[in-house]
Amino acid sequence: MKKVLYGIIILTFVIIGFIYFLYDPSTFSFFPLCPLHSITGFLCPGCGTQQAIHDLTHLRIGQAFHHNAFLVLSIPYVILGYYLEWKKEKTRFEKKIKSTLYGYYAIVLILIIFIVFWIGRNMM
Amino acid sequence: MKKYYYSDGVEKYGPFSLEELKTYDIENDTLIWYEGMDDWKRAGDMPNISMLFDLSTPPPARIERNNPIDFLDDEYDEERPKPKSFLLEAILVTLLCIPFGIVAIVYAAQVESKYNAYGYKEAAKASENALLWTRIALGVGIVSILIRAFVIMGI
Repeated sequence: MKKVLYGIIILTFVIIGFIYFLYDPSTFSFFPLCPLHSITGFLCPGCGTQQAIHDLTHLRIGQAFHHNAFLVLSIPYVILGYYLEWKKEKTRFEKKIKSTLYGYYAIVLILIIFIVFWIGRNMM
Repeated sequence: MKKYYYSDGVEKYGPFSLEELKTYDIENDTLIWYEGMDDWKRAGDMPNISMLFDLSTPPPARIERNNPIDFLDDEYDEERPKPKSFLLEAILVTLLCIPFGIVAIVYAAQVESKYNAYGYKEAAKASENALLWTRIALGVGIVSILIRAFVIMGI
């Protein structure tokens, strides 16, 4: 049952990734727009995510970073986190990484970075 | 496997395994012997045997708790592993729905801090909340994307 669920999730990611690979969200109009941006003109922390995904599927990491740095940085972080969660027998080094990078202070830091990123991208 | 003998004081019966011994009528005054014992002993004086045949009345319970399950929970609190914080899931749904995703991340942080400060139970509550808000953010995020997609397509 769980394997089927994981299969569906991975398949969904692949399909979405393929759509973003084929179409550039900034030139095609059928991609959903950010409600905050279209109403107030402010950028939210998620703005640029779709263009960043489009860039990533074309391996343009620099441009993806420019469109949404938070997303680009969160991808390796989440992948590493899932790897450490999946691995049953961890070495001491891996345990240390897990408790440092995914512990309480790390999460607080993520929230701070998130808010600073939100404010910062509207100032520039 | 230990071999047990029992005796009514006249005749000796055995050897039996513990399972076989159970099928006989052993009373408080029945004598029991197994390998390693110096002499025969009354079954009532041997806790392991009398327990098996329910011969003795149990000693009064010293600890009285209203809810035995609560008691067990407290007892094993420190040995229970840290509940899942759902941090990674919370980060992923934050991409879909920022406000509720942030709530989920805050609860993920609470799982970490409460487990260290108050133990498993408090952390488990935070973990449940983290999962709840992750699901809310996922649901709201998907619905809002669909609505926006429909609006764009003019349906």
